Amino acid sequence: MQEASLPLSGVRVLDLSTVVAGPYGSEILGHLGADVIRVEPPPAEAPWPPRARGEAVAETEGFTFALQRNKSSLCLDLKSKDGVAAFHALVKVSDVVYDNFRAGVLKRLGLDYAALKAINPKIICCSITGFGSEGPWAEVGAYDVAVQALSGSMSITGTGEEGAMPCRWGVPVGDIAAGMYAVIGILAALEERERSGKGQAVEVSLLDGQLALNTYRVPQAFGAGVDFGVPSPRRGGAGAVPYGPFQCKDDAWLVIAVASNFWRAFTVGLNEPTWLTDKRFLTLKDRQANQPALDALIEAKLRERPAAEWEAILIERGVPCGRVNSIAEALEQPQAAARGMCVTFTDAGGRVVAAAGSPLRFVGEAAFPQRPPVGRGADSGTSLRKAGFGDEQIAALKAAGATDGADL
Amino acid sequence: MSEAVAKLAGVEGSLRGLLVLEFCGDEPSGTLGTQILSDLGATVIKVERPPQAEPQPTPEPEDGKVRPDIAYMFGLNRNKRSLCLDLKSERGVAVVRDLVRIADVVYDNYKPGVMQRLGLDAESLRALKPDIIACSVSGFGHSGPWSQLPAYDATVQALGGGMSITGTGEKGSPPVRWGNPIGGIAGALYAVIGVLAALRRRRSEQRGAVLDIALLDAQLAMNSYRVPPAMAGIKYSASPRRGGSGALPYGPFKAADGRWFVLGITRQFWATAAKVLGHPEWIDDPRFKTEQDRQANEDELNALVGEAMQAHDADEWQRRFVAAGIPGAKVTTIPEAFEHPHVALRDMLVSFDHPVGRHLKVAGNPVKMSNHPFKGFRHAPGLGADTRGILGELLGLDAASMSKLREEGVAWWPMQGEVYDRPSVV
Repeated sequence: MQEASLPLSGVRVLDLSTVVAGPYGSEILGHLGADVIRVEPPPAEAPWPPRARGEAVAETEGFTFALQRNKSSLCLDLKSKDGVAAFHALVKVSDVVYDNFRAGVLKRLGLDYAALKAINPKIICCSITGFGSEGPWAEVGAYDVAVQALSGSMSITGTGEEGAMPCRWGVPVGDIAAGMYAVIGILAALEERERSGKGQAVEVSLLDGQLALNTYRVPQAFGAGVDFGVPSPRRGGAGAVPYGPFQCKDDAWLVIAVASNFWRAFTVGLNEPTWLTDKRFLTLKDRQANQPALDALIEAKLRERPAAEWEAILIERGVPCGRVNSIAEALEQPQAAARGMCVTFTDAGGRVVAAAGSPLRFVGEAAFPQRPPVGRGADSGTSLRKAGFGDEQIAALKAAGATDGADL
Repeated sequence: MSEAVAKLAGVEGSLRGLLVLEFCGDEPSGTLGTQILSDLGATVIKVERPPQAEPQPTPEPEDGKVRPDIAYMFGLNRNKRSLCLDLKSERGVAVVRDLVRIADVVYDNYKPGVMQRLGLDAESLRALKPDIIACSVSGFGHSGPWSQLPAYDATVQALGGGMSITGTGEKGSPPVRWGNPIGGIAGALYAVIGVLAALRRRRSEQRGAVLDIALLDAQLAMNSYRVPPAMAGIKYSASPRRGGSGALPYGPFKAADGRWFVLGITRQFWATAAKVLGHPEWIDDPRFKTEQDRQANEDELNALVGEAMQAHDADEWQRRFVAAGIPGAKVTTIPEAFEHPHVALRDMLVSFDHPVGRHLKVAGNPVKMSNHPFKGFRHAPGLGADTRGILGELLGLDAASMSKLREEGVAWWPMQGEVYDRPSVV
């Protein structure tokens, strides 16, 4: 095994982002080795108290451990002249400035790309907005559910029953996709800068990210006359039948996806050899034509055992299926465990907090380390020294209220 | 060489001169990833199987309506080039090996083991090009007990946990998957991030990388902030009426015209929302004063909001919420989504200068780079349309050697017109 060498070591990111979309992206950069400095308003937080083994993990801590790990934190008051001056000094020694403010905010603070480019022509500024920096919607607050609604994807998500409520994906994909596209833009800009020596501004809006994820449905809607409703939960992309969620003995759901090449193995797994010769189910066309009858048989059959047993039986025969796992079950399933997808952090007092690992797997190299999150202002002194500030200057900044921190 | 490579790119962009070889089926886990790279200026060569018999050229649709499978193809393959090679023949693989020697990235989404059978596994690729970036995207990854198992979007969404928190939330109601195939899509997004990160490292360390991206891993990672609480015993379920941060009122409500309109009212927007909804008296109503109050009296609040929403059509609500600058949104269909005023401003709906492509529109590139103002996409390639260009300009083959390869069934290109029939397309 080769020693891990972090792909983004030497890249410094000033991270002004908050909530989900921005931090999701900057956490990825931090995990890949970038020096990500969260820049947050003072005051600094008191150091986190040690937590004893077994102490509860609060829902709000989920955001901290998932989205703020692999970053350090600097307190700067960007509404003060001194704070902005310190930020400018940091820009000189940084590669990326990353934000998800509403359109116009950065400009008011004097921190937009035009201003920062004058300080460091190689700087890459990445902004995530809800609806872009101009146009009638530029000032409208974006929220994951609103973006999912506006992008069309909610109109194709639901139970498929007549008149049923449209559903959003429970995972905030509106935020997350924008965060990932932002990372892609930043990395592309870094690559270009290696060749040209020039920085640039990168912009991603939550709505654009969602529109792009409609991928093939867009030309199918505009040019092929395809009309999309909620896809039947019991039909797969290529018309596979049987397909979709079925409830098992333990009330848990099992999703099956039985394309023609798995039909035989499926009937063997269910121990229903007569289905194989049943005239109603001989070909995919037959199974599609007689789907209500087939679904009814499967519904009754799958009620005979718990979902986990059916999953094991079918997987053993190579038939694609999957339990509708809770999030904890998902992280604990053997395949996830084998891939090291659950990582843990240990608090000073011995409490263990689990989080999802990274899907970015470099084969033959040790997994990139996961650094625990730190409180607001934990690294203010260290960060300012990186920008060339001496102790006296830092003390003056603190006295002026422009910074605060645990290590000052 | 890099000039010849750059000339084949679909657009000018940050990744100019980067050569990507794509070995992928039709699924977005592969084709979307390489399309993102091509949108950023990389040259992407889609290596495809030659057709069984000589196909007819695809005519321009007479009624303007393109076939859905061709539309699908345009949605995931713009800006790419197509090279038809028989990878079951030794000489076909030899051509690929020559291309690998000048390539930067090899991207596949085959089942683990297939690239090995073709002699194109990471080790073989590295022998040809020591700093190659080999990226494999598969359902469950190249390691672990399920690595050989085929994945479908629905099963990956189920296994990943996302389905357990998606649905109407009603008792006994089935779990729902996201309508877009996020299983494959998320794998592609992570793969692109991995490739670009590896590229950055290659610049500083002259060292390649082998990436093993699993669709399941991507789903698990996207559970993000719900994972630490979930692993500590907190249960999550589908809750269409509750936002991540406890926002209320939240979720879809029916407007006067029967269309759904989604609210997501966080604390700071509550007073404005009450006014927009025509009920300023709610602001001082003790049942709804704080977010805690609103959560405690959720059912009453939702019933009142449901009634209030009957006052106007969804479009009128949209106008009012935008004017107030707060989150509220009509649940649009996909075509309606692209009528948004923002779309035209940002080149998010794009057509092609091409006989088939001009009847189609695709979603634009959501990553806006200031050094590269948008100038249009190149159309998706016809089957084998670039075979000769690639063999000639990148590998220096002359016309006679190319013809020989075609006669022997090793390489293929259409003799007349463009062919958009791809038997494998979904």
